[in-house]
Amino acid sequence: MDYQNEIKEGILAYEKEKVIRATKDALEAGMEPMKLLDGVTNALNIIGQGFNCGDLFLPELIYASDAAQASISLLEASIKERGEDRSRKGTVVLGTVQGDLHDIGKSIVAALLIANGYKVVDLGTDVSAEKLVGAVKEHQADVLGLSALLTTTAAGMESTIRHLENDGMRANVKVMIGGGATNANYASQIGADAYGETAVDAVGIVKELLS
Amino acid sequence: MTTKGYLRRGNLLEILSEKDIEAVHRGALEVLGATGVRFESKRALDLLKKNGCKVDEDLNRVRFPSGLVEECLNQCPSSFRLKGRSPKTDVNIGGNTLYFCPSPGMRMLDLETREQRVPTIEENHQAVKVLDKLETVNLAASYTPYCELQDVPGAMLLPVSAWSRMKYFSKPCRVGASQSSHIWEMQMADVAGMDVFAAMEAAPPLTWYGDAIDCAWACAERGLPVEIGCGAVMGGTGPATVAGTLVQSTAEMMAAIVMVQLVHPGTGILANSFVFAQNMMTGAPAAGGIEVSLFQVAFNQLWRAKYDIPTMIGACGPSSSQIMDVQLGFEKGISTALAAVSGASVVNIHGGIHVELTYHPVQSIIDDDIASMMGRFVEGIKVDHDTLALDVINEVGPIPGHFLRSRHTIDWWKKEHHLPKVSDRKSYHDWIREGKPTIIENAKQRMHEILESYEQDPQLSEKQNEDLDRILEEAREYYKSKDLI
Repeated sequence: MDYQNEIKEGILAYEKEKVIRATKDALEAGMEPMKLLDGVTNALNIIGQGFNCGDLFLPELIYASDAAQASISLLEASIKERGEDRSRKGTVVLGTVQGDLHDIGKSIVAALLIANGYKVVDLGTDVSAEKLVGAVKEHQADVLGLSALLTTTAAGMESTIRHLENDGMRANVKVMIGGGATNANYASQIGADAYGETAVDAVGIVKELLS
Repeated sequence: MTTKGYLRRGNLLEILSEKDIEAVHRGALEVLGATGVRFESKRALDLLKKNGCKVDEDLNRVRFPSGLVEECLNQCPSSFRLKGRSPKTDVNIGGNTLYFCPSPGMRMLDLETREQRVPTIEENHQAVKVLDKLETVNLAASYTPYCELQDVPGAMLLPVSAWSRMKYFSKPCRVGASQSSHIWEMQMADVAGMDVFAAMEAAPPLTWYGDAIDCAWACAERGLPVEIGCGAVMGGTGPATVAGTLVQSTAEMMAAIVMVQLVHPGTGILANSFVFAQNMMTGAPAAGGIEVSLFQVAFNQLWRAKYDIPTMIGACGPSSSQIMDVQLGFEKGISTALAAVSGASVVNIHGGIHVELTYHPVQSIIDDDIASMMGRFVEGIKVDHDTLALDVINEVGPIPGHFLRSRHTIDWWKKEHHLPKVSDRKSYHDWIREGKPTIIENAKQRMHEILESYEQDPQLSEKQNEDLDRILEEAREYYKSKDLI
């Protein structure tokens, strides 16, 4: 059984159950999780390229990255059990700030980062500053990405940055912001490191912040 | 290139009551019996006389008995097939399928100067190649697309236009009806291995000229379908009222149908509406007006509901606007939408700009978006277990749930949503970065891509190319011998 190919095919066919099953079967059969991870990355590269050139669209991108993420979580758990460490490009914690329920823009950023090989911890929407900072600590995140669509909730970004400073964490993590309520001026005003106009920008920004 | 047309689901827009339809039908029969129609063709007069019409040979006037008209209407099939250069581009006109066709223009609109100019043969080839590669173009009209070309004498325009099409267009074509051009065009179509159909277009009021009659006769004899077009200008060559022009046009077309069915019973008929309103300020036809759409919607209803004969709406392509602007967009959009939802089998739309005087391939690419948009509309709404989506609605639940994560979205969005090719769908930020392009710039880019990658499909053999060139030369010799060149 070519598990690596099975996982890749499952992602490319948008069959999440197949991806999870193949990952579990592969691990049970004693396959090396690092090797299986290559199959996932390979499939995500194809999806990412398809999205960039306009052949694939948001539903395909997000679903494929969700399916890949399900497989990656299983594989990482196994890597950890084996006492190994996954070398990766970097870890990004993402969240829509407190009081804001807008999920889609942030989910697109997550999907694109996953597709580009970053580890993504997506905390969802309406996330408090405490929770965001806690996740940065727990996952030793390299970048914290904050999203807000509403001008009324954008203040949650500033309070998150203050929270990082108070905890002495600000120097350890880069902060990028985006979403309808934000712009480059606002980013510098609140002391964020970068602002992204579009979801696609986020990938380039993370790459630059980590270089 | 595969073209399929769009299969309708749902009800058609109707604008006339049954009583109204009956009144138009009877009105047309009364005009045919009382006043009759002028036929400028000796053999047509003889044929009609032999079959029971009253013929006034001094005036070339034919008066029709109602029984004969109704008998001939009944002989018209409700659908017919036309063969493209390969089975991928065959069409089955009639039934529930909506097709689209280009809308010619005399000259090219120069996008820089905003003035008309006479295009070159190479520019004609380019416009034809673009049409060949647009999925929403299912067949072509006689002049494709220009009716005037640099260094081409008048008599050779139709043969050259057909030659350009036979080389670079793989879908069924209509032949022209001028100075026996159909003879060469039918020969070329045989070489290219595709069907053509006749253009029999009236000279209103109530007149059929020799060229139109000859073209229809030649095609009908060979069992090829005939497009019968009415082209009155309401308030000029037809009554100012929509109902009045409907009566007159119906009478003209019924007269033509009788002739065609007598030449060859069972010949396929495509009823074409090319009616405009009179521009009372200039005397020119006014295209794009809503009264033209009223006529077209009633025309579709009459020919489909009463006679079960497929219709072509030829007058959606041209507008009264001089350039590719907002007026052109809304006039074309509204008229195409109304023609499509009222049951047209073919809507002529691609490329036409100002009242058949100008054309541009960039516009044909924009019209591809309008056509596919209306195609999606007539396909309607599918309602079943999957599309009602109860499972996924329950699974996603309230906010912060959303459907971008759902497999159901992947399965359905492309089937349900229309995805335009050149209409702007960018985010503001991306649009700024890309230099703030308009739809015209997007369409220019697509035109460039089509022409760069153009390949004949299927390829014509060397022999076919030589034969097409030879037939064109024979046409040139013929018109020289007639002192027309």
